[in-house]
Amino acid sequence: MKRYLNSWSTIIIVFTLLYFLKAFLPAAFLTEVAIYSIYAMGCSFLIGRLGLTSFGQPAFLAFGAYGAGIYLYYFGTNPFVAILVGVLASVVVNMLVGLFFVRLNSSYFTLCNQAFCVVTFFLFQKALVKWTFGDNGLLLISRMDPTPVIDLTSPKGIYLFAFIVAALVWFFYNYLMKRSVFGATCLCVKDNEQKLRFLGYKTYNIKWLAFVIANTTAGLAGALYTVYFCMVNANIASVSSASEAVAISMLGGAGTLFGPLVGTFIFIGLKDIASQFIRHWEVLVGLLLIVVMLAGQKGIVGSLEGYLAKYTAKKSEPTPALTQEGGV
Amino acid sequence: MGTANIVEVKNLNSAYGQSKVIFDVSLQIKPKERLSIVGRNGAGKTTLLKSIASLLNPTSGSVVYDGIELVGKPSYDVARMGLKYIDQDKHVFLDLTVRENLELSSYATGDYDWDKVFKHFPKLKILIDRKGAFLSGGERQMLMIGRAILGDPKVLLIDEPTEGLAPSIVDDLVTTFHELSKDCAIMTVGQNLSFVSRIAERIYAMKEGKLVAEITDEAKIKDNSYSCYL
Repeated sequence: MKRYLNSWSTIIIVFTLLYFLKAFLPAAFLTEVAIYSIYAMGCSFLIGRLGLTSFGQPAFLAFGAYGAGIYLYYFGTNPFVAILVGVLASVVVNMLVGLFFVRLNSSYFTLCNQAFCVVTFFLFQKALVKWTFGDNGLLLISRMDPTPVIDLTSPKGIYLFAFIVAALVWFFYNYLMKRSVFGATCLCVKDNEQKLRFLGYKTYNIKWLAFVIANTTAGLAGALYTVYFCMVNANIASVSSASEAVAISMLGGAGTLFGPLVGTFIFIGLKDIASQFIRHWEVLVGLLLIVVMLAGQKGIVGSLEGYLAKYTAKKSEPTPALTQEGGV
Repeated sequence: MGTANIVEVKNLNSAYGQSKVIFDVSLQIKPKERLSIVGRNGAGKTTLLKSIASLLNPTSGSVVYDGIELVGKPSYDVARMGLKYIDQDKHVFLDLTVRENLELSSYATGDYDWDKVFKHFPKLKILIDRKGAFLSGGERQMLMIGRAILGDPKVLLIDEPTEGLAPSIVDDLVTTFHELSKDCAIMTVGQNLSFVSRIAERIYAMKEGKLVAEITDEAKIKDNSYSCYL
């Protein structure tokens, strides 16, 4: 119970602190961190918990973003409804795509997702240009009405809302990864899929559901992105940004709870700050990624968790199982 | 057949690609019996076990379990029906604790009666919060068998149960297998003849993918005289 409360309270503390960082850092930067970390969370879950690396995340981001964008441009003016429509569009696409993609393993899964990203980019840039306006995109700045309680058309409102949604996403993933049998089965799929079948689990269903959940998280980030930037264009699905979510996940620590948040903070920070001084700021991200991977392949949070576990193990009393019974 | 044999294997042939490994194997497993298959490395013992458990699709033949044909069925369905396979590599889920490993099995089978697991393996109760990665080979074997007996299986297929285990643990396993066989049939494969002599009620000797002998005589089993078939 104590552990249970601790993890919930940690999430609340982290996001509250991050929210009040606006006293020191630009709100625009922090909003982007909140939205992008949601995007990275899905990818991190796929890599860290299922062992599936996807270079097609921009496609799943784009379906959520265009779902919200098309609703606001053609059908309505309420940004809350737009986000809901974006998420629903994302769910439908992920359910269909997942049926085929989760049959693939490792490299084939990775490349198929990347190919899907290319197809999605073409879809929004060329095939549906009549409705999406291709590279020019859908401009929504005058198409959103102020909303009650939290006004998503105001910078303050979207800032607060992005943090609330991010915290809820973290609550959900905390439950999924640490408390649910489903989360444990995902980890087992990564560890040894065949062994899980021996226990009576149909692993295809597990992978499919995990795929839908992870990529719908990306879709949610896409819908928030549209409402925040008041526009969406085909570049959101560009394959050139396909490695970003993977890099963020690896940097922060794939499969860890706070890895995507730390990774996003560093990534967006380097993008916003270092790009003012260095033209090719991506070099810094690349170098940092290499250093972090060489330090233990667990990312920043994963490595810190490892050190913390060793430290607490040293400090705590040895268990009777270790001292009296011994290893067999 | 239903009352006499819980598993009936008929003319089973299995192959890895073009390489045929099992040749026309027929055998029966009776309810609650302890059966062993012995043979040298490469005799096809593991392949036979995997073919029975539907982890490998046989090229021909049939495997009937409790009146149901298993060939073509996915391995998770076979496990749910009560025919469990325990691999030789002592692989438990490393990132999960003993408790979580047991929970996974309980969730799949709907059987949360862990007392029967702790009755056979009291040590698992002590190790309940230890991660799989930090268990010894013997502890992993206990956990794998413990996971498998949840859901009250009718047949346990256990591949090389003593491989890499200390002699004292092997002694414990002998007792455990005798206890477990009061509730389900146990079929083991392996090369540890002294272990086989202590647990088996019936033995099949396997050579080059074929069953070459069936030993039912208790005296022959006890004095390892079946080793001449290997």
